[in-house]
Amino acid sequence: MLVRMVVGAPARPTDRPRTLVCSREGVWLWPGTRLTERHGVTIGPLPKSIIYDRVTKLHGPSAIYSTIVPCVEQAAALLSDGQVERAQQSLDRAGLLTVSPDGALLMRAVSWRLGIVPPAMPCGNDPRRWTASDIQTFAAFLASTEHAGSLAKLFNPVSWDPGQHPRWPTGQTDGGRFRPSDGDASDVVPRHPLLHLVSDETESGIGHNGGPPLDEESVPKLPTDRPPTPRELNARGRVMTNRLGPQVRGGIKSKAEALGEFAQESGAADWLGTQVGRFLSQFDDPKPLDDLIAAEKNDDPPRKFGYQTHHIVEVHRNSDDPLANSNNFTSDQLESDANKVRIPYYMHEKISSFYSTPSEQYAGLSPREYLRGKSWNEQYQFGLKAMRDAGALK
Amino acid sequence: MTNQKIANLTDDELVTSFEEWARARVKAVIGCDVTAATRSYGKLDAVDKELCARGPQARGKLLVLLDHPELPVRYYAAKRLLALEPDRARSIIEDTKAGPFDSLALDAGMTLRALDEGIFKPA
Repeated sequence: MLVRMVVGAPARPTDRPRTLVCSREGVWLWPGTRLTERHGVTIGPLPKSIIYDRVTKLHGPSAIYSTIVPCVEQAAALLSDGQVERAQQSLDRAGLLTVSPDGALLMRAVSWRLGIVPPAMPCGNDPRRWTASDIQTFAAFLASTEHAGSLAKLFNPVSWDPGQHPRWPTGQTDGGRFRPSDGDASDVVPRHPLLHLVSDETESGIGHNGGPPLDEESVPKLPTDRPPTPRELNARGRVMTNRLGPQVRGGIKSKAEALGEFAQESGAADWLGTQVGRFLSQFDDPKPLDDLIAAEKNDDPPRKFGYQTHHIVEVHRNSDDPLANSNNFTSDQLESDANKVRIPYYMHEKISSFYSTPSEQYAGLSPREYLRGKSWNEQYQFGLKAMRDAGALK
Repeated sequence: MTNQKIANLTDDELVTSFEEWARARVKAVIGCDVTAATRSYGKLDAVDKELCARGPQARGKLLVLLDHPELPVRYYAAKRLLALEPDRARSIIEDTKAGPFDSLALDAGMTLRALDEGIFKPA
Protein backbone atom coordinates (compact mmCIF):
# COMPACT_ATOMS: atom_id res chain seq x y z
CA MET A 1 0.00 0.00 0.00
CA LEU A 2 2.85 2.29 0.84
CA VAL A 3 4.51 1.58 -2.47
CA ARG A 4 1.30 2.40 -4.33
CA MET A 5 1.16 5.67 -2.44
CA VAL A 6 4.76 6.33 -3.45
CA VAL A 7 4.12 5.52 -7.06
CA GLY A 8 1.09 7.80 -7.02
CA ALA A 9 3.00 10.76 -5.62
CA PRO A 10 4.04 13.46 -8.08
CA ALA A 11 7.58 13.17 -9.40
CA ARG A 12 9.90 16.17 -9.16
CA PRO A 13 11.24 17.84 -12.26
CA THR A 14 14.36 16.05 -13.43
CA ASP A 15 16.56 19.13 -13.44
CA ARG A 16 15.90 20.09 -9.80
CA PRO A 17 18.67 19.91 -7.19
CA ARG A 18 18.21 16.89 -4.97
CA THR A 19 19.89 14.99 -2.14
CA LEU A 20 18.96 11.54 -3.44
CA VAL A 21 20.19 10.23 -6.75
CA CYS A 22 20.81 6.90 -8.38
CA SER A 23 23.40 5.57 -10.75
CA ARG A 24 23.82 2.11 -12.18
CA GLU A 25 25.75 1.28 -9.00
CA GLY A 26 22.96 2.13 -6.58
CA VAL A 27 21.17 4.85 -4.62
CA TRP A 28 23.19 7.67 -3.13
CA LEU A 29 22.61 10.38 -0.58
CA TRP A 30 24.50 13.64 -1.07
CA PRO A 31 27.47 13.95 -1.38
CA GLY A 32 28.12 10.23 -2.02
CA THR A 33 26.78 8.09 0.81
CA ARG A 34 25.44 4.71 -0.19
CA LEU A 35 21.85 3.73 0.65
CA THR A 36 22.04 0.43 -1.24
CA GLU A 37 24.53 -2.35 -1.73
CA ARG A 38 25.24 -4.60 -4.66
CA HIS A 39 25.07 -8.39 -4.40
CA GLY A 40 26.26 -9.69 -7.74
CA VAL A 41 23.76 -8.44 -10.31
CA THR A 42 21.19 -7.47 -7.69
CA ILE A 43 21.05 -4.16 -5.86
CA GLY A 44 19.40 -4.19 -2.45
CA PRO A 45 18.61 -1.48 0.12
CA LEU A 46 20.71 -1.11 3.25
CA PRO A 47 18.88 -1.86 6.53
CA LYS A 48 16.13 0.63 7.36
CA SER A 49 17.94 1.86 10.46
CA ILE A 50 20.99 2.81 8.42
CA ILE A 51 18.90 4.54 5.77
CA TYR A 52 17.05 6.54 8.42
CA ASP A 53 20.27 7.37 10.24
CA ARG A 54 21.89 8.69 7.07
CA VAL A 55 18.90 10.52 5.64
CA THR A 56 17.97 12.26 8.90
CA LYS A 57 21.47 13.74 9.02
CA LEU A 58 20.50 16.04 6.14
CA HIS A 59 16.72 16.13 6.38
CA GLY A 60 16.17 16.07 10.13
CA PRO A 61 14.24 13.64 12.32
CA SER A 62 10.99 14.26 10.42
CA ALA A 63 12.48 12.31 7.50
CA ILE A 64 11.45 9.12 9.24
CA TYR A 65 7.86 10.05 8.42
CA SER A 66 8.68 10.30 4.72
CA THR A 67 8.43 7.41 2.29
CA ILE A 68 12.19 7.19 1.94
CA VAL A 69 12.55 3.50 2.77
CA PRO A 70 9.95 2.11 0.31
CA CYS A 71 11.24 4.53 -2.32
CA VAL A 72 14.81 3.29 -1.88
CA GLU A 73 13.56 -0.32 -1.93
CA GLN A 74 11.67 0.33 -5.14
CA ALA A 75 14.59 2.20 -6.70
CA ALA A 76 16.93 -0.66 -5.80
CA ALA A 77 14.59 -3.14 -7.50
CA LEU A 78 14.39 -0.95 -10.62
CA LEU A 79 18.17 -0.53 -10.71
CA SER A 80 18.56 -4.30 -10.56
CA ASP A 81 16.47 -4.30 -13.78
CA GLY A 82 18.68 -1.62 -15.28
CA GLN A 83 15.91 1.03 -15.14
CA VAL A 84 17.94 3.99 -13.86
CA GLU A 85 15.53 6.71 -14.96
CA ARG A 86 12.53 5.09 -13.32
CA ALA A 87 14.57 4.47 -10.20
CA GLN A 88 15.37 8.18 -10.00
CA GLN A 89 11.69 9.00 -10.42
CA SER A 90 10.95 6.73 -7.49
CA LEU A 91 13.49 8.54 -5.34
CA ASP A 92 12.07 11.91 -6.36
CA ARG A 93 8.74 10.84 -4.84
CA ALA A 94 10.25 10.23 -1.40
CA GLY A 95 8.96 13.56 -0.12
CA LEU A 96 12.32 14.90 1.04
CA LEU A 97 11.77 18.43 -0.19
CA THR A 98 13.65 20.39 2.48
CA VAL A 99 16.82 19.96 4.49
CA SER A 100 16.89 20.66 8.21
CA PRO A 101 18.83 23.63 9.60
CA ASP A 102 21.39 21.20 11.06
CA GLY A 103 21.48 19.42 7.70
CA ALA A 104 22.10 22.70 5.87
CA LEU A 105 25.02 23.51 8.15
CA LEU A 106 26.33 20.01 7.71
CA MET A 107 26.12 20.42 3.94
CA ARG A 108 28.05 23.65 4.18
CA ALA A 109 30.77 21.97 6.25
CA VAL A 110 30.97 19.04 3.82
CA SER A 111 30.99 21.40 0.82
CA TRP A 112 33.85 23.33 2.32
CA ARG A 113 35.83 20.15 2.83
CA LEU A 114 35.17 18.89 -0.71
CA GLY A 115 35.24 22.26 -2.46
CA ILE A 116 31.81 21.79 -4.03
CA VAL A 117 28.48 23.60 -4.01
CA PRO A 118 25.66 21.74 -2.24
CA PRO A 119 22.32 21.21 -4.02
CA ALA A 120 20.17 24.32 -3.50
CA MET A 121 17.27 22.87 -1.53
CA PRO A 122 14.94 24.84 0.75
CA CYS A 123 15.67 24.74 4.46
CA GLY A 124 13.01 23.74 7.01
CA ASN A 125 12.56 25.34 10.40
CA ASP A 126 13.15 22.37 12.73
CA PRO A 127 14.90 23.23 16.01
CA ARG A 128 18.70 22.97 16.06
CA ARG A 129 19.99 19.85 17.83
CA TRP A 130 23.68 19.66 17.05
CA THR A 131 26.68 21.56 18.28
CA ALA A 132 29.37 22.85 15.95
CA SER A 133 31.48 19.92 17.09
CA ASP A 134 28.72 17.46 16.11
CA ILE A 135 28.55 19.01 12.67
CA GLN A 136 32.29 18.81 12.12
CA THR A 137 32.29 15.16 13.23
CA PHE A 138 29.52 14.21 10.80
CA ALA A 139 31.09 16.34 8.06
CA ALA A 140 34.36 14.46 8.34
CA PHE A 141 32.46 11.22 7.82
CA LEU A 142 30.38 12.42 4.87
CA ALA A 143 33.33 14.09 3.16
CA SER A 144 35.33 10.85 3.24
CA THR A 145 33.36 9.45 0.31
CA GLU A 146 35.18 8.76 -2.92
CA HIS A 147 32.06 9.15 -5.03
CA ALA A 148 31.28 12.83 -4.57
CA GLY A 149 33.06 13.72 -7.81
CA SER A 150 31.24 11.32 -10.08
CA LEU A 151 27.84 12.10 -8.53
CA ALA A 152 28.02 15.89 -8.12
CA LYS A 153 26.34 16.68 -11.42
CA LEU A 154 23.47 14.33 -10.63
CA PHE A 155 22.78 16.09 -7.34
CA ASN A 156 23.01 19.56 -8.83
CA PRO A 157 22.03 19.25 -12.52
CA VAL A 158 21.11 22.90 -13.23
CA SER A 159 23.72 24.87 -11.42
CA TRP A 160 26.57 22.56 -12.32
CA ASP A 161 29.47 24.68 -13.46
CA PRO A 162 32.76 22.83 -13.88
CA GLY A 163 34.59 26.08 -13.20
CA GLN A 164 33.20 26.08 -9.67
CA HIS A 165 34.37 22.52 -9.06
CA PRO A 166 38.09 22.34 -9.75
CA ARG A 167 39.70 18.92 -9.42
CA TRP A 168 43.20 17.73 -8.62
CA PRO A 169 45.01 16.87 -11.85
CA THR A 170 45.16 13.26 -13.01
CA GLY A 171 48.30 11.52 -11.84
CA GLN A 172 48.35 13.12 -8.39
CA THR A 173 47.44 11.19 -5.25
CA ASP A 174 43.93 12.64 -5.29
CA GLY A 175 43.81 12.89 -9.04
CA GLY A 176 40.29 13.45 -10.33
CA ARG A 177 38.86 14.25 -6.87
CA PHE A 178 37.62 17.74 -6.05
CA ARG A 179 40.00 20.26 -4.60
CA PRO A 180 39.06 23.52 -2.87
CA SER A 181 38.51 26.31 -5.35
CA ASP A 182 41.30 28.78 -5.93
CA GLY A 183 41.59 31.18 -3.06
CA ASP A 184 39.53 30.67 0.09
CA ALA A 185 37.08 27.80 -0.31
CA SER A 186 34.60 29.77 1.76
CA ASP A 187 34.01 32.03 -1.22
CA VAL A 188 32.41 29.08 -3.00
CA VAL A 189 30.15 28.00 -0.19
CA PRO A 190 28.41 31.27 0.78
CA ARG A 191 27.00 31.57 -2.72
CA HIS A 192 24.53 28.90 -1.78
CA PRO A 193 21.15 30.44 -0.86
CA LEU A 194 20.15 28.00 1.87
CA LEU A 195 23.15 28.99 3.95
CA HIS A 196 21.58 32.34 4.66
CA LEU A 197 18.47 30.72 6.08
CA VAL A 198 20.00 29.22 9.19
CA SER A 199 21.84 30.61 12.16
CA ASP A 200 25.58 30.33 12.42
CA GLU A 201 26.86 26.87 13.29
CA THR A 202 28.69 28.12 16.35
CA GLU A 203 25.34 28.74 18.01
CA SER A 204 24.64 26.52 20.99
CA GLY A 205 22.70 23.32 20.43
CA ILE A 206 21.61 20.57 22.76
CA GLY A 207 24.56 19.30 24.65
CA HIS A 208 26.65 22.37 23.89
CA ASN A 209 28.69 23.62 26.81
CA GLY A 210 26.97 26.96 26.53
CA GLY A 211 23.80 25.40 27.91
CA PRO A 212 20.77 23.64 26.55
CA PRO A 213 18.39 25.43 24.18
CA LEU A 214 14.84 26.27 25.07
CA ASP A 215 13.22 23.06 23.84
CA GLU A 216 15.15 21.04 26.41
CA GLU A 217 14.48 23.57 29.14
CA SER A 218 10.80 23.40 28.42
CA VAL A 219 10.63 19.72 29.37
CA PRO A 220 10.19 19.47 33.15
CA LYS A 221 12.82 17.65 35.19
CA LEU A 222 11.57 14.41 36.69
CA PRO A 223 9.82 14.85 40.04
CA THR A 224 11.79 13.87 43.13
CA ASP A 225 8.85 13.68 45.52
CA ARG A 226 6.91 10.92 43.74
CA PRO A 227 7.41 8.29 41.04
CA PRO A 228 7.34 9.89 37.58
CA THR A 229 4.49 9.07 35.23
CA PRO A 230 5.25 7.21 31.98
CA ARG A 231 4.49 10.47 30.13
CA GLU A 232 7.06 12.37 32.18
CA LEU A 233 9.61 9.60 31.72
CA ASN A 234 9.07 9.55 27.97
CA ALA A 235 9.34 13.32 27.65
CA ARG A 236 12.63 13.31 29.54
CA GLY A 237 13.78 10.25 27.60
CA ARG A 238 13.24 12.06 24.31
CA VAL A 239 15.24 15.06 25.50
CA MET A 240 18.08 12.80 26.60
CA THR A 241 18.01 10.89 23.33
CA ASN A 242 18.19 14.10 21.34
CA ARG A 243 21.12 15.29 23.37
CA LEU A 244 23.09 12.06 23.67
CA GLY A 245 22.36 10.47 20.27
CA PRO A 246 24.57 12.79 18.23
CA GLN A 247 27.31 12.65 20.87
CA VAL A 248 27.40 8.85 20.69
CA ARG A 249 27.19 8.72 16.90
CA GLY A 250 29.90 11.37 16.68
CA GLY A 251 32.22 9.38 18.93
CA ILE A 252 32.17 12.04 21.65
CA LYS A 253 30.69 9.65 24.22
CA SER A 254 30.78 5.89 24.47
CA LYS A 255 27.47 4.04 24.57
CA ALA A 256 28.27 3.09 28.16
CA GLU A 257 28.75 6.73 29.18
CA ALA A 258 25.55 7.73 27.41
CA LEU A 259 23.56 4.93 28.98
CA GLY A 260 24.87 5.80 32.44
CA GLU A 261 23.94 9.43 31.89
CA PHE A 262 20.57 8.47 30.50
CA ALA A 263 19.84 6.14 33.41
CA GLN A 264 20.97 8.78 35.87
CA GLU A 265 18.64 11.42 34.49
CA SER A 266 15.69 9.44 33.29
CA GLY A 267 15.75 6.50 35.70
CA ALA A 268 12.93 6.19 38.21
CA ALA A 269 15.38 6.54 41.08
CA ASP A 270 18.87 7.97 41.55
CA TRP A 271 20.23 4.71 42.87
CA LEU A 272 19.43 2.95 39.62
CA GLY A 273 21.32 5.50 37.54
CA THR A 274 24.25 5.36 39.93
CA GLN A 275 24.39 1.59 39.84
CA VAL A 276 24.04 1.41 36.07
CA GLY A 277 26.85 3.95 35.71
CA ARG A 278 29.11 2.01 38.07
CA PHE A 279 28.34 -1.22 36.27
CA LEU A 280 29.01 0.16 32.81
CA SER A 281 32.14 2.14 33.64
CA GLN A 282 33.78 -1.14 34.64
CA PHE A 283 33.86 -2.08 30.95
CA ASP A 284 35.97 0.92 29.96
CA ASP A 285 39.18 0.02 28.19
CA PRO A 286 42.43 0.95 29.96
CA LYS A 287 43.29 4.58 29.20
CA PRO A 288 46.58 6.52 28.97
CA LEU A 289 47.62 8.32 32.16
CA ASP A 290 47.16 11.74 30.56
CA ASP A 291 43.54 10.90 29.72
CA LEU A 292 42.80 9.75 33.27
CA ILE A 293 44.37 12.90 34.71
CA ALA A 294 42.47 15.11 32.24
CA ALA A 295 39.20 13.33 33.08
CA GLU A 296 39.69 14.16 36.76
CA LYS A 297 40.70 17.74 36.03
CA ASN A 298 37.73 18.36 33.74
CA ASP A 299 35.25 16.37 35.80
CA ASP A 300 34.40 14.40 32.67
CA PRO A 301 33.05 11.79 33.04
CA PRO A 302 31.37 13.03 36.24
CA ARG A 303 31.85 11.03 39.42
CA LYS A 304 28.13 10.40 39.68
CA PHE A 305 28.13 8.45 36.43
CA GLY A 306 30.19 5.58 37.82
CA TYR A 307 33.63 7.04 38.38
CA GLN A 308 35.77 8.07 41.35
CA THR A 309 38.82 10.16 42.07
CA HIS A 310 41.86 8.00 42.78
CA HIS A 311 45.09 9.29 44.33
CA ILE A 312 48.06 7.48 42.79
CA VAL A 313 50.05 8.16 45.96
CA GLU A 314 47.62 7.60 48.83
CA VAL A 315 46.78 10.54 51.09
CA HIS A 316 46.32 8.87 54.55
CA ARG A 317 44.17 11.71 55.85
CA ASN A 318 44.07 12.53 59.59
CA SER A 319 46.64 9.91 60.49
CA ASP A 320 48.73 10.22 63.67
CA ASP A 321 51.38 7.98 62.16
CA PRO A 322 54.47 10.12 61.47
CA LEU A 323 55.14 7.97 58.39
CA ALA A 324 51.69 8.60 56.93
CA ASN A 325 51.80 10.34 53.56
CA SER A 326 49.78 13.30 54.83
CA ASN A 327 52.60 13.89 57.35
CA ASN A 328 55.42 13.41 54.86
CA PHE A 329 54.23 15.05 51.67
CA THR A 330 52.63 18.45 51.19
CA SER A 331 48.96 18.69 50.35
CA ASP A 332 50.04 20.43 47.12
CA GLN A 333 51.86 17.25 46.14
CA LEU A 334 49.11 14.92 47.22
CA GLU A 335 46.35 16.97 45.58
CA SER A 336 48.36 17.85 42.45
CA ASP A 337 46.89 17.12 39.02
CA ALA A 338 49.58 14.51 38.38
CA ASN A 339 48.51 12.54 41.46
CA LYS A 340 44.77 12.46 40.80
CA VAL A 341 43.01 10.38 38.17
CA ARG A 342 39.37 9.62 37.36
CA ILE A 343 38.84 5.85 37.15
CA PRO A 344 35.81 3.54 37.10
CA TYR A 345 34.17 3.09 40.49
CA TYR A 346 34.69 -0.64 40.89
CA MET A 347 38.31 -0.45 39.73
CA HIS A 348 38.92 2.17 42.41
CA GLU A 349 37.28 -0.05 45.00
CA LYS A 350 39.37 -3.00 43.86
CA ILE A 351 42.64 -1.05 44.12
CA SER A 352 41.69 0.33 47.55
CA SER A 353 40.92 -3.16 48.83
CA PHE A 354 44.19 -4.45 47.43
CA TYR A 355 46.10 -1.70 49.27
CA SER A 356 44.36 -2.69 52.51
CA THR A 357 44.83 -6.46 52.41
CA PRO A 358 47.98 -8.30 53.54
CA SER A 359 49.78 -10.26 50.82
CA GLU A 360 52.48 -12.89 50.62
CA GLN A 361 54.59 -10.74 48.28
CA TYR A 362 54.99 -8.02 50.93
CA ALA A 363 55.88 -10.47 53.71
CA GLY A 364 52.42 -10.40 55.17
CA LEU A 365 52.06 -6.62 55.07
CA SER A 366 49.36 -4.85 53.13
CA PRO A 367 50.64 -2.72 50.25
CA ARG A 368 49.67 0.35 52.30
CA GLU A 369 51.86 -0.83 55.18
CA TYR A 370 54.63 -1.87 52.81
CA LEU A 371 54.72 1.57 51.18
CA ARG A 372 54.63 3.53 54.42
CA GLY A 373 57.68 5.80 54.66
CA LYS A 374 58.81 5.08 51.09
CA SER A 375 59.74 7.91 48.70
CA TRP A 376 57.22 9.77 46.56
CA ASN A 377 58.65 8.28 43.39
CA GLU A 378 58.56 4.73 44.71
CA GLN A 379 54.95 5.09 45.83
CA TYR A 380 53.96 6.79 42.56
CA GLN A 381 55.49 4.02 40.42
CA PHE A 382 53.84 1.39 42.62
CA GLY A 383 50.50 3.18 42.18
CA LEU A 384 50.85 3.20 38.40
CA LYS A 385 51.60 -0.53 38.37
CA ALA A 386 48.55 -1.27 40.50
CA MET A 387 46.39 0.80 38.13
CA ARG A 388 47.78 -1.13 35.16
CA ASP A 389 47.13 -4.51 36.76
CA ALA A 390 43.64 -3.37 37.75
CA GLY A 391 42.88 -2.57 34.10
CA ALA A 392 42.48 1.19 34.53
CA LEU A 393 45.76 2.36 33.00
CA LYS A 394 47.06 1.50 29.55
CA MET B 1 40.63 -22.25 64.19
CA THR B 2 43.24 -21.44 66.84
CA ASN B 3 46.92 -22.22 66.61
CA GLN B 4 46.32 -24.98 69.16
CA LYS B 5 43.73 -26.54 66.87
CA ILE B 6 46.03 -26.19 63.88
CA ALA B 7 48.76 -28.00 65.73
CA ASN B 8 46.36 -30.89 66.36
CA LEU B 9 45.49 -31.36 62.69
CA THR B 10 47.13 -34.00 60.53
CA ASP B 11 49.07 -32.94 57.43
CA ASP B 12 46.21 -33.94 55.17
CA GLU B 13 43.71 -32.06 57.32
CA LEU B 14 45.94 -29.00 57.07
CA VAL B 15 45.90 -29.28 53.29
CA THR B 16 42.11 -29.50 53.37
CA SER B 17 42.02 -26.50 55.68
CA PHE B 18 44.27 -24.55 53.27
CA GLU B 19 41.89 -25.38 50.44
CA GLU B 20 38.89 -24.13 52.43
CA TRP B 21 40.58 -20.89 53.50
CA ALA B 22 41.77 -20.27 49.94
CA ARG B 23 38.13 -20.42 48.83
CA ALA B 24 37.14 -18.07 51.64
CA ARG B 25 39.93 -15.67 50.71
CA VAL B 26 39.05 -15.40 47.04
CA LYS B 27 35.42 -14.81 47.96
CA ALA B 28 36.48 -12.00 50.26
CA VAL B 29 38.91 -10.49 47.73
CA ILE B 30 36.36 -10.49 44.92
CA GLY B 31 33.78 -8.98 47.26
CA CYS B 32 36.29 -6.31 48.40
CA ASP B 33 35.69 -7.48 52.00
CA VAL B 34 38.98 -6.39 53.54
CA THR B 35 38.21 -7.78 57.01
CA ALA B 36 37.38 -11.25 55.71
CA ALA B 37 40.31 -11.19 53.27
CA THR B 38 42.71 -10.26 56.07
CA ARG B 39 41.33 -13.00 58.30
CA SER B 40 41.59 -15.66 55.61
CA TYR B 41 45.12 -14.52 54.76
CA GLY B 42 46.02 -15.04 58.43
CA LYS B 43 44.53 -18.54 58.40
CA LEU B 44 46.38 -19.55 55.24
CA ASP B 45 49.58 -18.16 56.68
CA ALA B 46 49.09 -20.12 59.92
CA VAL B 47 48.46 -23.37 58.03
CA ASP B 48 51.49 -22.82 55.81
CA LYS B 49 53.70 -22.02 58.79
CA GLU B 50 52.53 -25.17 60.59
CA LEU B 51 53.34 -27.32 57.56
CA CYS B 52 56.74 -25.62 57.24
CA ALA B 53 57.42 -26.32 60.89
CA ARG B 54 56.71 -30.02 60.30
CA GLY B 55 59.41 -30.20 57.63
CA PRO B 56 59.76 -30.38 53.85
CA GLN B 57 57.76 -33.59 53.50
CA ALA B 58 54.76 -32.09 55.26
CA ARG B 59 54.92 -28.87 53.30
CA GLY B 60 55.28 -30.83 50.09
CA LYS B 61 51.76 -32.13 50.66
CA LEU B 62 50.50 -28.71 49.58
CA LEU B 63 51.82 -29.46 46.09
CA VAL B 64 48.69 -31.43 45.37
CA LEU B 65 46.80 -28.11 45.38
CA LEU B 66 48.74 -26.93 42.31
CA ASP B 67 46.52 -29.33 40.38
CA HIS B 68 43.32 -28.27 42.10
CA PRO B 69 40.43 -27.75 39.65
CA GLU B 70 39.70 -24.27 41.08
CA LEU B 71 42.07 -21.54 39.88
CA PRO B 72 41.92 -19.48 43.12
CA VAL B 73 42.98 -22.51 45.20
CA ARG B 74 45.83 -23.22 42.77
CA TYR B 75 46.79 -19.54 42.91
CA TYR B 76 47.04 -19.22 46.69
CA ALA B 77 48.92 -22.53 46.88
CA ALA B 78 51.28 -21.35 44.13
CA LYS B 79 52.14 -18.18 46.06
CA ARG B 80 53.21 -20.40 48.97
CA LEU B 81 55.10 -22.94 46.86
CA LEU B 82 57.25 -20.68 44.69
CA ALA B 83 60.36 -21.86 46.51
CA LEU B 84 59.52 -25.54 46.01
CA GLU B 85 58.14 -25.49 42.45
CA PRO B 86 59.15 -22.12 40.99
CA ASP B 87 58.23 -22.75 37.35
CA ARG B 88 54.89 -24.42 37.93
CA ALA B 89 53.94 -21.92 40.59
CA ARG B 90 54.87 -18.93 38.44
CA SER B 91 52.94 -20.36 35.53
CA ILE B 92 49.83 -20.59 37.71
CA ILE B 93 50.30 -17.00 38.87
CA GLU B 94 50.62 -15.90 35.24
CA ASP B 95 47.43 -17.81 34.40
CA THR B 96 45.69 -16.03 37.25
CA LYS B 97 46.84 -12.64 35.98
CA ALA B 98 45.24 -13.41 32.63
CA GLY B 99 42.25 -15.15 34.20
CA PRO B 100 38.64 -14.23 34.76
CA PHE B 101 38.87 -12.99 38.35
CA ASP B 102 39.62 -9.24 38.12
CA SER B 103 40.63 -8.78 41.73
CA LEU B 104 42.87 -11.84 41.69
CA ALA B 105 44.38 -10.64 38.42
CA LEU B 106 45.43 -7.41 40.14
CA ASP B 107 47.06 -9.34 43.00
CA ALA B 108 48.68 -11.80 40.60
CA GLY B 109 50.09 -9.00 38.47
CA MET B 110 51.56 -7.29 41.51
CA THR B 111 52.95 -10.62 42.75
CA LEU B 112 54.82 -11.12 39.49
CA ARG B 113 56.17 -7.59 39.64
CA ALA B 114 57.29 -8.11 43.23
CA LEU B 115 59.05 -11.34 42.21
CA ASP B 116 60.79 -9.73 39.25
CA GLU B 117 61.86 -6.70 41.30
CA GLY B 118 63.19 -8.84 44.12
CA ILE B 119 60.67 -7.52 46.64
CA PHE B 120 59.14 -10.98 47.04
CA LYS B 121 61.69 -13.58 48.03
CA PRO B 122 59.89 -16.94 48.35
CA ALA B 123 61.10 -19.16 51.15
